Parts: sequence; C-alpha cells; structure tokens
Amino acid sequence: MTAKTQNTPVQTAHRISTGCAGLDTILLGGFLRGSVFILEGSPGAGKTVLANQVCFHQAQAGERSVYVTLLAESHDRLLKNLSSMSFFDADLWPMSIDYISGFHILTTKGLNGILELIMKECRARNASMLVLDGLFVLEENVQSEREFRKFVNDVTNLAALMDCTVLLLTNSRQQPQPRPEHTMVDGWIEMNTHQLAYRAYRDLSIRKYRGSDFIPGRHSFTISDEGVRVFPRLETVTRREIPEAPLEGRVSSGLPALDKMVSGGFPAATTSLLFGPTGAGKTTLALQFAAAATAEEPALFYSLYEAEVRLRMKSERLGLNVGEMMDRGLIHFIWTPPSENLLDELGNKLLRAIKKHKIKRLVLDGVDAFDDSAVHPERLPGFLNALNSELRRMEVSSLFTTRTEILPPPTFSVNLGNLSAVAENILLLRYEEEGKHLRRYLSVLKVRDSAFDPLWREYTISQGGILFTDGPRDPASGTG
Amino acid sequence: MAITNPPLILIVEDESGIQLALSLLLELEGYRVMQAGDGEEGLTCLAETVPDLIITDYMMPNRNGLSMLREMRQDPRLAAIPVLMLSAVIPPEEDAYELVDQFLSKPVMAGDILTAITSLLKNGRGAS
Repeated sequence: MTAKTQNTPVQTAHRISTGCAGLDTILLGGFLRGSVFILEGSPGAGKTVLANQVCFHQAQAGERSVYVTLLAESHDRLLKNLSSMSFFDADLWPMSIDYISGFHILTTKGLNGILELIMKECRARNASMLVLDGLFVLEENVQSEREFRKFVNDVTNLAALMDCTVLLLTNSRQQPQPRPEHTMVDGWIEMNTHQLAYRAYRDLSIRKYRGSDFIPGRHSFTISDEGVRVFPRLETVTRREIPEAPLEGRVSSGLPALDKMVSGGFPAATTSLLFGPTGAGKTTLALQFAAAATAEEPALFYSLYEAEVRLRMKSERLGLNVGEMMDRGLIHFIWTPPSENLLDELGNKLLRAIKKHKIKRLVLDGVDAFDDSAVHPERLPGFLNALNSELRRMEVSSLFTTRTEILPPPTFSVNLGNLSAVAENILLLRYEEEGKHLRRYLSVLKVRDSAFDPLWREYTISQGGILFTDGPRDPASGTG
Repeated sequence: MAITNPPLILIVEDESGIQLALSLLLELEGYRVMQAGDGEEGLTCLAETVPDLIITDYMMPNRNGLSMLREMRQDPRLAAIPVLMLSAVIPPEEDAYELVDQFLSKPVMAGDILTAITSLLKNGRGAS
C-alpha cells in the first residue's frame, strides 16, 4: 500500500510534523524535537492511531521510531488493524518502526528495565521518535505515585539526551485534572469522544505545550481510513486581516434584470444571502449565479442538499448550461449530504476547494444545513463570520441560500436569524396566493454601499431560469 | 592476550534523572560507571577509586563541580584525569579552563558526549 500523508512537510527546524495537517496547525508546526508529550484519551479515542500515524509519517522521511507497548494487544493484531489505514506502508516496517512489547520486562525488571529497554532500542535504532503505549499500565505496577513521577522524569531526561521526541499514551481519567506527571512533560494532548443524544463526535485539545504557543480550545477530529484528521476551529485559523480597501467592481448575479436592481451587480468579493421558502427558486437563482462563471473566474457550487446528478437535470430542464460548464471545469461541484457533518470539516473542505481551483464565485446552497452540523449552535455566528472573512480575503464573491418561512402580508415577517449579520447583500424570495395562482416575488433588502431597487418584483421560473415579469426599475432613477 | 577493563567513568550530577540517563547511555556503550550526587560525594568516590574520566555538573548543592575539581587536582593520583563538564552556563571562575578539559552546554546530546569521551580518553588532558 502506498503511504499517504495529509500534505504536511515532515519537519521544519526543531519541529516534528505529526503527519496530520490540522494537528500541525494547532501545534504551530508540530512537536518540538526532543519534547515529551502525554497523549491522553478514553479507550477508542484514537491515541494509538495518531501515534502510529506520526511514526509512519516520520518513517517516510527516513526517520526511525521505537514503539513500546505495554498493552495486552499483540503487535500482529495492532498491525492488522493499522493495515487498512492509508498512512500504513508495509515497506516501512520493521526497518523504520520497531514494535517492542515491554510488558514482560516491566513484570520482571520493573521501571528501570523499561528505561534500559528504551535507551537500548533508541540508541541501537538511532530513533528520533519513541512511543510508550500504555502509561497507565506502568502506573498500576508501581509502589507509589512518587516512583511513577520519577519514571516520567527519567523518560524526559532520556528523551533530551537522545534528542528523541516521546509520546506517552495513556487512558484519561473520569475527571480529567492536571496531575503531577502533566507538570513534568512538555506537552499534554487530550482526545475526547462525546455523546450528544444519538450522536457521537470527537474533539481534542492541547492542554499544555511548554516552549511553544499553540491554538487553544477544542478542535474536532475524525478517524477514518485516512487516520486521524483534525479540523481546527475555523474562527481560530482564518486570517483576520482584510484588504484595506474593498475590492472595486461589480459581479453579475447571472440575471441581467437583478443586476439592474442592484446598481449593476453585487459588489465584488461580498457575500449575498438569498432567503426563501421551499420551492421559491433559490437553487435556480444559485445555478444562474454559478453559470456566470468564466475561465478566469471559475465557480464552485457547494451543495448541502441536492446531488450533482439532480442539479444537472434541473439545469438542463431550465435550459441553463451548468452541466456543460461543469464538464469544462468552469464550475466545480461538491455535494455534502446534510447528515452528521462537522462544522469545521465542512469549512475546511470548502476553503481547500476554493484554494485548489482558484475559485472566484461561490454558491453555498443550503447554508441552513450548517445549523444541523453544529454540535454547538452558539458557535455558528462566529463560524460564519470567520468563513465570510476568509472568502473576502480570497476575493471570492459568494451567494449563500437558506430556507426560511416568510409569512405573507398583512402579517409579513421573516426570521433572518444569525445569518443576516454576515452578509453584505440580502435578497428575499416569497410566495403570494392570488385566487388559484401562486405568485413569486423577489426583493432586495440590502446591498453594501449601493443604491438598490427595494420593491417586490414578480418573477416566474421557466426556460432560462428566473424571469421577471413586471420589469425592474433603475434605482438610480429614483422611481424604485 | 591480556583482558583490559573498560574505562571507568565517574558521573557527578545532582539531577537523578540526568544521572540515570547518562549512566544507561555509558553502560550501553560499554563503559563502567560510578555515580555521585554532588561534589562532596564525588570527592568521597575519588578517595577510594581513580576513574579514567570524570563527567561533572557545575552547579550542585554542598560542593559545586569546580570546587570539587580544585580539591581533586591537588592530589597527584587524580591530577591527570580528564574532565568533561556539562553545564547550562560557563563558570565565571578564572581557573575554570585549567580545571576542566571540555565543556558541553546542557541540554546535551548523546552523540556529543560520546564524541567528547572518546577524544578525552584517547588524548588525555588538554585533548580539546
């Protein structure tokens, strides 16, 4: 199997990459070389996977690791479990990663036996990475807490002497509190699995990192056949600086009549929010927005509800050439079903695609699905603000669609929720019954620093997409 | 063919973790090792045994490394023993370079220590 990494350099000066891009981001580049980290979590939290991921990543660069396990699990079984992971490379084992069972030595020679083993193996292998899996087993086999603390201290001294980075894997306690061993090591990473009603999710946090700054707080992670993937909270990693002057120019909405209502198009590199009830034509307008893409300014259509095949069919029925533009690479498409997603995973995926394809026009169709993905909905405003700032910095013009119920006049009201604060431009779609007819209307609520036509405009959806039936007025004429 | 004993090295270090790590490393490399926890204990060891080399810390309780070396150098049996000092700082005392043959600053790497030991054992005092 070919080993893959998550696009992380193996090491910068004095830093050891973990092979997990998100974790490197949180650790500001990885582990400091020669440091000792406690990796703590409940059984099944992913400690062993992450530690092996680090070792295999280092092995790819020619570095050697010693992996001492004090657990009952045999190495055959461990390796069998790891073999399905994309980072696993059978060619690197056993030459670059040496798996050693320390349990027998612990029971016959005690802690000093383990220290001798560590020194002997690290020296013999010229190892730059040491993993001790099952620190809690050692703790159970010592006479006193003092003896255990001395052992941890001895390991840190061995690591410093051998210039070896050390991961000590241990089970978390029921009530995780800093313990003496935490004060003796350089770093402490906590990996957690939480239950929220029927849903389970994972996060990790750096509790301590001596000699280095880090990004504090909880960050989501997943475990899949790619290994551990960490998604730093978007609010903490997006760049805060915004161009001093907003980008000049207008960006077509894809509907000439709508462009006229908003003074020639949306201001460039802004986010437009399109609210409307189900069936009002949000996705249709979004397709028209995407279809205004060019080779110089490609679009990304990020759908949280409808799959690509359905959107192609819809586009074809409307006479839009979105499918053909997808085939030509002018429009890129990502579909993430609105199931149990992680907010930061979605954000990460979106921003990576924008960067990769140099996207300048973005549709986020169904942004209300983010509500379902947010384990902690109170984070949503901050998350969307961060996402919006990043899009602005990347000079991307965006259209977010979201479902909302709008009560018709005379009790006309709409709840724009958290989203309205992040958008520079806001559009509303609604229905109105007239006899047996259901009429559709669009109105512009807000356009950044521009005049606009605020009247409700009636439209139909037919061949060609959204067509206005009562003719927009030019807001500059003052008649709107 | 005569069988010779491996070189004997005295480690004088108050930090037990560093002392242990150094001992394990040197024993693994085939040296014989004696340990002392400060300068006073170091002198006690030296009264009974003459090592081939001394590795000492500078700052230690009771008696520091240089103070131990001053006393030691007055004994003709011990005057020629090469000394490697591991310290976070270079001692400000004027006679530091007369008493010590090589300094390594902490934190120190295994490879640097082993290279220094090989050189000092081969060339004796003033090897560096």
